[in-house]
Amino acid sequence: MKPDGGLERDLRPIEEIDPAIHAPARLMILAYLSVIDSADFTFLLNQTGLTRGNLSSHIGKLEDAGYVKVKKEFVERIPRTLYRLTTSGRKAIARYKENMQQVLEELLD
Amino acid sequence: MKEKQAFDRLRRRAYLEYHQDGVLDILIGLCVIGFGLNMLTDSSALSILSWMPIIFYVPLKNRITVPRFGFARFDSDRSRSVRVSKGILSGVLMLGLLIGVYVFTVGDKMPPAFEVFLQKYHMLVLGGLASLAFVGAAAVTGLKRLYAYAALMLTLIIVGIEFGIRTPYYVIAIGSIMLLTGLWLLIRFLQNHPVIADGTHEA
Repeated sequence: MKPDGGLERDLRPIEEIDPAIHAPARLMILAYLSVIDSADFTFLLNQTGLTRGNLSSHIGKLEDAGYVKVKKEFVERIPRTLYRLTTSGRKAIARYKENMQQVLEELLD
Repeated sequence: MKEKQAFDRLRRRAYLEYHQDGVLDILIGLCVIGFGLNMLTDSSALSILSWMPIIFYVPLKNRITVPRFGFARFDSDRSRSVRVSKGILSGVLMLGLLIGVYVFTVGDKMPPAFEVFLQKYHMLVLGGLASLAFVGAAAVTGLKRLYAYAALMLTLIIVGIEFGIRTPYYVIAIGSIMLLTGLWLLIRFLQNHPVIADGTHEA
């Protein structure tokens, strides 16, 4: 530890890492939603390789955090639920990236 | 920059997987076969029916692809490439239309050299336009096999003209190759992606 408390100060971005994003599964979901306009549950299930229950639970957490928005529509009278990244979700990813870069730079220097 | 490339790869992979179901190939193949059969039989019913398969694209996608692979909208990040490719496709259509209007209006007063050229190479002109359309579609979708179809179409037309093969036969051959490729892709897609029951997540 640095005598002037520098270590604590340098690693402060760790405290700012968003736990809603930091879980690998949620990061993966957000990564996919950030490169497409919107997707349904089956698409995310296929792409992420998560189980149905896992995906459902992680999407729920992302919705609670306000990072994912749900839109329901009907296609040929069949309901389709689409997930889309919100503006705050995009901002949260950008913030997360900055924080992680800062943390890794401090740790690896 | 690296991050952007990684995200681009992610989007591209998802997009290409979504279009590896062979539906497009089957429908275009059926259209081309219909066109060839129409030339062979000179049937007016077939000339209308040959375009019909295209209307089944969205219903088939909804019945085959979406229950297995899910649904995604990709358009927002591809706007630039889509604009460029739509420009190519519009250019090809305009060129085809202009040639058609010219031939139709000039009629008998057409320069003899041009008339001879059209009589001998009309399929090359049509095939060239169709190949350009495939190149445009390949640029829109990123599906490399559409470039192969463009090359295949031109090659078979040139071979057909060189060896004096009757036009409908090589048109049907081109359509059959597309249809078979599509069926092979569809079988592989169905094997790799079983139906996921109740894909809707009620949040």
